Amino acid sequence: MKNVTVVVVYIFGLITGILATGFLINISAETVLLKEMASPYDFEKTVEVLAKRINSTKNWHVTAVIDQAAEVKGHGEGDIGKLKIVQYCSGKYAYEVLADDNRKKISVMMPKTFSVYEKNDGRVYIAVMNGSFVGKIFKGETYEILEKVSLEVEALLNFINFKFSLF
Amino acid sequence: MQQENSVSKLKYFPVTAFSVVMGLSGLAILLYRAYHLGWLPLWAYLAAAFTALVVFAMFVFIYGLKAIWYFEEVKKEYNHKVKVNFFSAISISFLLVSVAFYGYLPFVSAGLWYAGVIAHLLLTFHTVVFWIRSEFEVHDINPAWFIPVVGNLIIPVVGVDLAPTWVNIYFFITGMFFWITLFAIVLYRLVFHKQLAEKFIPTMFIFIAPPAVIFISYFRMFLNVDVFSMSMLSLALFFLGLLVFLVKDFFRIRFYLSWWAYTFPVSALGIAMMIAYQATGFSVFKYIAVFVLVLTAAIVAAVMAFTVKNVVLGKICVMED
Repeated sequence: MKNVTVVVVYIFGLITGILATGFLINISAETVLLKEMASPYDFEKTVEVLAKRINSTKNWHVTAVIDQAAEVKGHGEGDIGKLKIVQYCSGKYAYEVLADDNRKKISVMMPKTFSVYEKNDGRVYIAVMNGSFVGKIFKGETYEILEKVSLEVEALLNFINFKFSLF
Repeated sequence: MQQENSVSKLKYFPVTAFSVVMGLSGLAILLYRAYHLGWLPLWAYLAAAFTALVVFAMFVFIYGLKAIWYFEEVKKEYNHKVKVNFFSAISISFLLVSVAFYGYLPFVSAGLWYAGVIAHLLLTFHTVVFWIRSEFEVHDINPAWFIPVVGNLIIPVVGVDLAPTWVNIYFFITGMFFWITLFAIVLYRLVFHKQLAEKFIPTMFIFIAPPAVIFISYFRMFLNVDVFSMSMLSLALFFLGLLVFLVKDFFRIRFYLSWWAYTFPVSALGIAMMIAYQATGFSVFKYIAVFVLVLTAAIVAAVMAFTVKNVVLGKICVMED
């Protein structure tokens, strides 16, 4: 191949690659940032199990359980179906992150949230921010703290691993 | 003279070299899981991941140059009965480096994943068409034939966050289907026909990879530890045990680049064990995972040392059959 052709092909390939990657990441954003999992339990039981698991885990506690359906209805709107938001926090990790002024902006993601809802198919789902993805945006000490948080949140959600329990 | 030597090295730079990237990125993923579980410090993962990235970038550049200057050589490899299977190691390298960096540079990882998926889709079709159109004898098949297949199974690991479920299921089931069918043929060939050529004996390790990767992908897609996934994990363990019983066969062979086939499957088993431990909390998985982690690190270090030695001796990048 002639050198000029090679250079043109490479530059064209590079530009196409950059554009295609940007475009594809854009269309993947929804699945990347929000994760939805089917719960093995009914609505009330799911909320109860989540709250119980959070409160019995060292350093973690539930800060509020918001009945979002009642909230919406209470403000004169229609029925959205069963939907509760479980807010939870860890004083330990919140301190580690927020004690540093440069990291105070991360408080916008606090407290952490699980959303539990029932869809029209009758199944109950849990939605979470994909913390393991979001956490990777940060580097250094923040990255390491958020990695530990991510591990503990995974443990909180362990019960959904066993839809057809073997053990 | 030296320039001539470099030119011939480039001409004979083998596509099989990408199995080095597979091995290194497999180790990086394993070390990331160990870091995630709090067993190892971050630097161990970062060292392995960036080594894999540098080697990957270097090989893509070198093979790219070869494709420009010695296109006929690349074409020969692309239509070679054995090497055609290793072409998928290029796309698998994209996918594995993507998995390795998903825990640290997720946007870089996403770019690599898309490139890897498109390349792997095309290479899988090319390879299967090549199998159908060529006239193979049963003894031509070896475990390296699994390579294009295993790649499909890797796609959902990161794909679960980047693509719709049906896309991941497509690759998952394609990989599973060909793994089962090819496995029957490979086993038949091993049992009823002549022994594998010495060079291909290390590829027996590839047996461990598909069930281990199926376990990982299945867990990522369905967040499930159930009878099916536990069966896959058990099967991967069975193959590890089988290879332990065959260990004598592995020690008597000379060094080939195919030794890198030892590395990725063992890493995959370690990753699967760590996930099983995290999901179930069973200590037995933890002990096996730690054992496999140490084993993988030792194997990669040994194979790396042999590779460097053979590069120095000028035994790599020479004309092959």
